[in-house]
Amino acid sequence: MTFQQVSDSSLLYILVAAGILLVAAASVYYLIVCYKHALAVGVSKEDMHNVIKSSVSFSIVPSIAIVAGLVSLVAVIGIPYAWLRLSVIGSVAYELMASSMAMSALGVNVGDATAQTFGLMMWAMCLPMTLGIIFNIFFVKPIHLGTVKLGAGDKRWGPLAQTVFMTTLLVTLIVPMFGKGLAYMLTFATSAVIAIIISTLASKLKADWLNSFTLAFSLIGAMAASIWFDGIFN
Amino acid sequence: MAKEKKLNPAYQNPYYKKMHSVGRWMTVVAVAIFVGVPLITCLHFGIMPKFSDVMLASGGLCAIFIPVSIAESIAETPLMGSSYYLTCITGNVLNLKLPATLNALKITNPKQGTEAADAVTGVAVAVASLVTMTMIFIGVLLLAPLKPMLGSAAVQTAAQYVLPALFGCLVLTMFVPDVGGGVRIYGRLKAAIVPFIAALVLFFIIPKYYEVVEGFVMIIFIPIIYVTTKKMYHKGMIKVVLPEDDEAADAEVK
Repeated sequence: MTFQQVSDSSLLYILVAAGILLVAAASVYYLIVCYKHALAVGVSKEDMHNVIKSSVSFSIVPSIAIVAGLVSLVAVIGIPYAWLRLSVIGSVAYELMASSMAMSALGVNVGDATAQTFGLMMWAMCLPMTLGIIFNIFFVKPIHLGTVKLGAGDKRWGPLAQTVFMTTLLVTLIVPMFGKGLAYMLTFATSAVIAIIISTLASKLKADWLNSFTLAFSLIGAMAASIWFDGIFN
Repeated sequence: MAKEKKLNPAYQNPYYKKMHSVGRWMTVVAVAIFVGVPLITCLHFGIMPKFSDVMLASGGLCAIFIPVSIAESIAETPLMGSSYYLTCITGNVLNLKLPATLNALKITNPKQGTEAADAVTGVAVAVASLVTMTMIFIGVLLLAPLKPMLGSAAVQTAAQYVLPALFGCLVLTMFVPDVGGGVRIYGRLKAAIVPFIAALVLFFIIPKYYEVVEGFVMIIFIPIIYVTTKKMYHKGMIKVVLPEDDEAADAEVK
């Protein structure tokens, strides 16, 4: 039995499709429960529709980038397992790194990989992330509910304490934007400038609907500009 | 833990109870899927690897990714709330779910740490997950015709710049005083200046590994920024304006 006979087998397609359908069903359930609860606690229907429209419109572009990664991953592990790994749990960068680390640990390459190698790669890619999310079962609830009560006794300190997490995340995550070269930094700046222009336009033209598309427009504009910046600086 | 449950009213909140219960079960089912696919495939084709080979192939990955994903859970859960279970199950956290959350919070402007913020985050994460699953499904169906376009130099280049293109827009929310629920905060970024410089220095020391240790950096920064923010708030360097302050000021003018 060859690597490809297993990696593109109909059994694997069926298992993967069933798994993704289950996760999709869970997402739909989450969407319905959270939508209803948001309305129940006073978020307006209009705001919720804007959240949905905005989330859909801006998710499309990063998803295209993920599909572009799918092309690379399919070349290594075949269509069905790449489909599973990118639809749930993984990310393009992790999966590519995991598959190449697993193969180099085994001292094989795609050309001479056997069906046994594929079995081993599936486990090597599956274990680290899966073991990581088992942590969530035990610790997400105490972490989340522990932070919900932060600053509960002080009306002013309470909302300020809650902003600490978002500030920390953004401060940590934007650092590479300043250190990965001019093309990276200019793409970052272009996205910010487009967002400012759209917000200003929305406010001047009294077109509130435009605000829902700020992230989508900024993303498309900045990514298009990045091709140009990359050509100049890299 | 039992004392914490008694003292913290959030543990009695029916919404949080339900969402965490759903999230935990969802994670159990997801783990069964992630493990079930390789297990059934290997058993069916008779290609089950030896445990020692699995450890050889995944030992390095486990050593890196288990601590990293635990560190990220600790740092990201306070913001993502009960939807963190679904976030981890569907993956693509930094390039999709976190921006979706920040964007949704910006649009609806709820007070952070409330049920409204948690529910809005859940909607954004679920929608982003469904869009990605649909797009990847379309990608799988059209893999052959799309391959030349998706593999083109322009698309491959642009795909490398998703994160700066996302965060350029989202980082603006840090500079806006309005933090939801009509509350405005002035000067809160002062507490993050030193950690930001420290992170930048760290990045220049270990540029290749910064993204691997990002989760640990967040864990170290949360208490530092928390304590600094509190001290600055008590010294009056950070000011919090509540909606009732505006109402009182309006009443005074009248």
